[in-house]
Amino acid sequence: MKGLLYKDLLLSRKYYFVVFLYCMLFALIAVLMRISMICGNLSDNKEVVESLSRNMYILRYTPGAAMLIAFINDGGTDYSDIRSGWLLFSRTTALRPEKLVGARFVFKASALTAALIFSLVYMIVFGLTGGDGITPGMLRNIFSVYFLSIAVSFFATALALVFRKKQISQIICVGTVGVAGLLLTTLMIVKLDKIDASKDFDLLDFLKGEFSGIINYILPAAAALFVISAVLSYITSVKALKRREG
Amino acid sequence: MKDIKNAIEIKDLTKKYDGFTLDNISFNVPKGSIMGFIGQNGAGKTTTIRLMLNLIKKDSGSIRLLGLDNAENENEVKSQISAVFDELPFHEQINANQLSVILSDVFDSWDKKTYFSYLDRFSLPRKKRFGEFSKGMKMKLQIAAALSHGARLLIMDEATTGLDPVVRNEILDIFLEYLQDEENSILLSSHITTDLEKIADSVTFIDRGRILLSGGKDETVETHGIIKCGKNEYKDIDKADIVSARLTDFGAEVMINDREKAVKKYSGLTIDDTTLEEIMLFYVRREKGEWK
Repeated sequence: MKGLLYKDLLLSRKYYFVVFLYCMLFALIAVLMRISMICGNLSDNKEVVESLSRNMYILRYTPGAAMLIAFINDGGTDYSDIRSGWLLFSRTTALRPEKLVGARFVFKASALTAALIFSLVYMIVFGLTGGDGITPGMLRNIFSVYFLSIAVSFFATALALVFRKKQISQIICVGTVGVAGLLLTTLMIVKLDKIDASKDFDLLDFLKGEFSGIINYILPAAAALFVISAVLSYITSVKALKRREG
Repeated sequence: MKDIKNAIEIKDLTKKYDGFTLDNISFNVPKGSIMGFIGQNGAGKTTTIRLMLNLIKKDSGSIRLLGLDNAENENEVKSQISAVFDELPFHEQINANQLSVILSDVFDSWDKKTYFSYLDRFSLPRKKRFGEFSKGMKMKLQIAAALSHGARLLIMDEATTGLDPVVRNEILDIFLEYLQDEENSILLSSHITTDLEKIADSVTFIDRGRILLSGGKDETVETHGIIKCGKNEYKDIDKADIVSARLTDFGAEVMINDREKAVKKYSGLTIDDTTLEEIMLFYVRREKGEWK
């Protein structure tokens, strides 16, 4: 699998580097803002600091979550494989579809894991600058984004392989409608207006309040959904590669 | 592998599309030989090759490559063959060194040493991105990759199209070298018949999804001939002996497919030698009978 992972790295390294650079810059600015707020000339005014802290709460997640979401797409490698003729070439060799898809998934999961590590390091640094560290709730939130990113990333590969003969615009349309539908459903279920951003928001705690009757099943159900989604994406991708055109 | 007679055996192969049918085609490529697969654009060459590579589903018929059914023994077959297309199937961002690492994962029997020796022989740069390669360089690279994993059968789809004569000759020489090993075979699809005239042992003509001719190249060229004659002489030629005839202001050029018989039957007329290109041209227009 080493060679296939190497290919993916060669194709996506520039994209990853640019995303990393942007997120790093954002993270740096966020940390400096926080240091300025805590140690600068505003530090004497507790009310102002508290108000700013509330507003800056989202910055605790932004760079890491942005990197995770941006890493869902690894620089368009799926489409590049189709457009360059690589996918067709690989189908003329004895390379098994399982290995081809496996390599794509391992690579994407590795990149997203690297983004998760960045997120965690940043969150720790951001927390340390304010002296409030990192809470289990924060960890749960960022891990939720991580697992969701992996699931969507695998789904994107499956989508590209299934629709490989179609126009890219059609694929983007299908993908956009899918993601929009997912977000809309989530918004309807979660009812965002109930979230108090000034407090340390923990998705699990929030869901406990919303779905007290079924709370014991939420975590196992989410885990099961993740596994099912990943496995389905894998099977769909392999089947798409094995498919012979009519 | 040593026991098989034919590297490719295609029997009664049919594939129907809306507006095109590959109609019950059959031909063999003897082991250790190179066959030219000739036909104009849209004749069915690429469809046949895609069926051979099991990239598309056949409607009926059988395809055996290196003695094995191409669908039932897909992996075994594909590990012993190489397909070369008219376009480079590798990403433009990578270079020859990086490709070697990637292909070592794709082919179990990838031979890095052979690959780099071909790169040196073709004077291909190792660190230049493929996006900066010329068409000839891209084709040489594909061939270097195709010959570096011990493939016993090369299937080339319009591989020499668009190349200058120097590069084409260089590539044809490589093919002849490859065929020094009698276990190796090549199917070379092309509409550039001069290339095939140089190296092919046998030829198969395909037109509108049907095989028109299949056999030894020399035999095919020798059995055909062109009678150049006046209008009155043309009228005397039996239509059953004619493939088709090109009418000119002075008379006609008539393609016949049994030269030996024609020599005896039309002893007063001169029968010229012909070429694969002319044979293709006259056969493609056979339904018209006469053309200008």
